Amino acid sequence: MSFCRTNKTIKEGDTVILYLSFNQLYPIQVKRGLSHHTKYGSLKHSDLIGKKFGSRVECSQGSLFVLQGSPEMWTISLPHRTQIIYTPNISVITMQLDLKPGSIVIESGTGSASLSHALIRTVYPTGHLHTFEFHQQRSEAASKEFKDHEVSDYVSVYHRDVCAQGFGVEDLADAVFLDLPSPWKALESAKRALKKEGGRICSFSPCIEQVQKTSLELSKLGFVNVFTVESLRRILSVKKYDLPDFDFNMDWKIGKDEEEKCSNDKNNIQKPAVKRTKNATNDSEESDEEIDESTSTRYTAKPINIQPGHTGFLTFATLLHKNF
Amino acid sequence: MIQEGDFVIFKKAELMKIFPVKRDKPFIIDRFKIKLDNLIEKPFGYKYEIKNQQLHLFQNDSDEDLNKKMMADKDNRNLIDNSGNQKLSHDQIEELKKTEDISGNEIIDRLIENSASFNQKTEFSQEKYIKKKKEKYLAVYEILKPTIRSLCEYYTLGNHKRKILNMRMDTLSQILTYSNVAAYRNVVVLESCKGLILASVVERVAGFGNIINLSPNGGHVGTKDILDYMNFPPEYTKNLYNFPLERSDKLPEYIQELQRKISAATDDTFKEKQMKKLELAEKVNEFFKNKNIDCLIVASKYRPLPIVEKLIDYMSPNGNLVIYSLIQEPLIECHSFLKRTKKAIHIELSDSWLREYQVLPERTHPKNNMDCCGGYLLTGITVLDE
Repeated sequence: MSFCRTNKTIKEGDTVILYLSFNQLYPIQVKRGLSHHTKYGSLKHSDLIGKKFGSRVECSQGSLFVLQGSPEMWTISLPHRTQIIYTPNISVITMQLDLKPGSIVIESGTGSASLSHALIRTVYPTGHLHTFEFHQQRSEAASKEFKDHEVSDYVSVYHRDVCAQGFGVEDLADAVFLDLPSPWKALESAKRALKKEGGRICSFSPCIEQVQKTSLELSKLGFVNVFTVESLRRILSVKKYDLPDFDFNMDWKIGKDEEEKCSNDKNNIQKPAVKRTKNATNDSEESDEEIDESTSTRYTAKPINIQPGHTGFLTFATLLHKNF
Repeated sequence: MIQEGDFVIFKKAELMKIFPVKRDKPFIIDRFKIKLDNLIEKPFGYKYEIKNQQLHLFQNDSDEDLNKKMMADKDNRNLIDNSGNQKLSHDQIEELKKTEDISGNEIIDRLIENSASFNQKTEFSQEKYIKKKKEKYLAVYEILKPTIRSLCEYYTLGNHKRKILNMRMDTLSQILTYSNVAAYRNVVVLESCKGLILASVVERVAGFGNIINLSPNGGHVGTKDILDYMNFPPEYTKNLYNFPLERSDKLPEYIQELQRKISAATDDTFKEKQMKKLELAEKVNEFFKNKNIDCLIVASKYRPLPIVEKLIDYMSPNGNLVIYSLIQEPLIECHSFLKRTKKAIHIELSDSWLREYQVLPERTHPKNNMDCCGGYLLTGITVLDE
């Protein structure tokens, strides 16, 4: 059970993540006889078998880390078939849907199965995910992934258009998640699919017009506590930010050459042997060696310049007990 | 369904209160004295009104404003803000509130009758006026089930946020995903959030894994509140070990010390107590010595670095580490430590942002106030780098 249970060593058939750096992660399924080519040279699958997860593996021209498949790692390394839902939103969805081991949850559409893996991890081993997708190839691809990741016992995959045909189930689920172009069309059927004790629902939409229609329809159908949030996570980069002191005593009128010479002299006196050029690419793993204890207190953090500012609106609501 | 022995949350506008459900036991909420017997065997989530010291199911009357469209026939040009708009005096209103057989709705009707400006208001502001008065005069409460979600709200609304280290719902939810907490994990938790994090971990592990709760002196009083509110089935907490944080870095010595105490003991009850301590220490030692910890969550009032320096060596490779802090500096030094020692990869320092919206036809906009203080997280994956 490579995505759910924690095995300590790699066995044949496991999906593992080859970790080179923050944005170079490659999922592979370990199979004897195959090899994988990375920028650090080629890697034989058979070399991985029996290795501990989280250990360093030598390739012909360098080394990388081999990690266990987890929903969070999968989300940043999976093959995109659609836009996907990322971990910050997945977190809020999981919490607001009250999910825990044993929960029965319905999801539509399956898309690239980024959220699906996280949902399975949370409801495993006593719960179940029912995932609906109207695009046949996507549905089949997800189904294969679940099999490869040894989680298919905890998920049922349906190829079905829930807006047109409904979910086709009744009094089954603790929670329903919708990521559809017209989520309001699936709400009536979603209500039927929720357990008679009631449950939670979430709809993810990128546009506010969709949210308005969905919220109105939810209230009409008797859902309560309808509310909408946006949630983002901002990554900060930790670096040493040095600001030079302005020298009030220097004669700034003197020629350019002399000035440069002058400031160079100053630099040479104040900061001997700083490895400047390497520090500039501090975002990647290669700069690990740059941090030494003596200067650690001078590190500070700033947000990375361009980051997602909008993903989608999350609308949540509660359905109360159906027969009360 | 609500059972005797459960806790219930009473929610009204900006107020939330938690009570245990016990037969024939009165509680005071606002100025009412009530018994909760009526709630037993009823589903959660419904609204109840307090009338004659009793809880009565309240028929939902809200959401009528959803169907209203903007009417532009009135505006506020003639409205003058002065205290004379309401003809009823403060004392008269107080008198009304004390009258036994008058309902909150009737008080509001009187207020409207006696308001000089009400009819000049636009339909939207009339609605707003009524809504505000309802919150003030109606004794209507939503009866909620304590869940991690509702307890987050409870601590936020009740202005108790500092009790849970200003933990915001989205930050807590990220702690739970980035730590990869789930069934069959061995989790170490160190928290000062009244048990909010511990309870969420207990819920996600659901008795299938092991949880070590580290605290000064191994006390579990600090985390008891929220665990009690959640009312977990006993199998959820059978693998929860409360262990003293100060002993966690010298377990072999601690075990020896306990063994000495046991062999020297003459008093039976003392001996039994030490035996229990020994059993716990040996259990925890087994996880630590074998580096068998999959998830480490630190969200405490202490500086995280000295703690993380010690605990990280008990983690298995490919384990998930999450450290929370309200400010970023303590996490920056942890970041440097992890980078320098190469004990972890994929180290990310992040903050989170959560914005709520008012969604109504032609009145959709972000809520006026937002909780801007969600704290910082440092996440990473432990590795073997030899």
